Amino acid sequence: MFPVFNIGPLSVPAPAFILIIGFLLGSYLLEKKASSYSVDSEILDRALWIGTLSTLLGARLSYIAGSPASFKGNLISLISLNPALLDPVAGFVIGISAVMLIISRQKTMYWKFLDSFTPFIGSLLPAYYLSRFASGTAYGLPTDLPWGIYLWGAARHPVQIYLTISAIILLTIILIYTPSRNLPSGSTFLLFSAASSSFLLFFTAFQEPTIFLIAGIRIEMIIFWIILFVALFLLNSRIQSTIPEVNDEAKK
Amino acid sequence: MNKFRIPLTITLLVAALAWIWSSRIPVDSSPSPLIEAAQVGYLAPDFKLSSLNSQEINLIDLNGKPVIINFWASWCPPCKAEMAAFQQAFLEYAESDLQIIAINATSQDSLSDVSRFIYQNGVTIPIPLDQTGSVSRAYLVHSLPTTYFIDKTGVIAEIIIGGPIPLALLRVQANQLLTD
Repeated sequence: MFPVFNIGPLSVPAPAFILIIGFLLGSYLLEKKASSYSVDSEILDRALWIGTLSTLLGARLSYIAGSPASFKGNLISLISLNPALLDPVAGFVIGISAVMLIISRQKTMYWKFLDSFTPFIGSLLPAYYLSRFASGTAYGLPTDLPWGIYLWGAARHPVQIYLTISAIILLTIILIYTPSRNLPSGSTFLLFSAASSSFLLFFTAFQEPTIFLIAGIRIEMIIFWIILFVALFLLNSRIQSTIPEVNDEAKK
Repeated sequence: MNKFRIPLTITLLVAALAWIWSSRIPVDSSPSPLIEAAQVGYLAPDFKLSSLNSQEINLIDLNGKPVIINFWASWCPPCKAEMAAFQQAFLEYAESDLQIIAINATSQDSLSDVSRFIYQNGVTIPIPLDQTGSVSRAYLVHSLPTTYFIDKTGVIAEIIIGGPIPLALLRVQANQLLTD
């Protein structure tokens, strides 16, 4: 647990710092890898920043809408820099919607766009897992394994470290992987989604449970399974639909 | 490779379902915050401290009431900046069960500075003095300000590290603690 970095008189919350590093690295990779996916990096850049601003604005507005009475007579709170005044789920939905709007306006190919965004998501994920480790949330079940971390009265699985390592491996693969011409656009994104959800599904089993479904099954694992299913289904559908095109090109 | 694609997909999905089933938690072993730890979902560590006016404040005496504990020091600019919001919340929720206390990290502060700050700013919130730093250590306070939101059962519901915390956020958290 490293909740803060004390740099001289400054106390920087470590989770936020790690997330910012992940974001900056992601935006750098997004621009660098754009040409690999034949997408205009300017459009990606614009989408990223508008998406980020929409996420922050949407998250704040949604939080305010949830409890407007709390801001009565205290309008300065509306522009507070405190991140606790954000609704992350609503912000995420609004940010994604804004990005989708930009894609539709630019008439950029939808799947190519998602492919080109994969390095960005790939560098944000390890930062997110590491930030959760730094904040001490989502800790693991007690374990006797030698690498267990002593936390909250027991040696526990360092689940966030497992996830961080898996996400770094995925990011490395994305960076050295050159999209195959035989695979349809969207394959990079869908394969990444399938791999990420598989890792999450696997490692969540070692996490201290928070929410239960019927018969003790974790609801998060069901959600990850659905993401895995959708990603694999779409991947198969896209490969299936492009086989005739590939065969036709081969005949020519 | 194409002829293996569908069977591989199905195998992966079935294996994932088997993993979900095999890693289910027995229904009777719901997570129980039995131990004290400065972490969301755990019992707030108990403490007994004397305040500036020599009044003894014991967390266990506040059992059954939601509590907001703010750790602060007089040399810490964000602590000073948010104290007005805490004072306002303290007055607004005076008639409710909510308890707001502002533990001064006295082991890193000077009593005269604390007294001067409280007097100059008209602070009436109970100010327990952590003279040895033992409570700050028990609450893993690595940075000031740090604020703990504790529900009626004594379990930590939220931790906010850093500040200044705006009044609106205090109101939202206070209302949640009072309605939960």
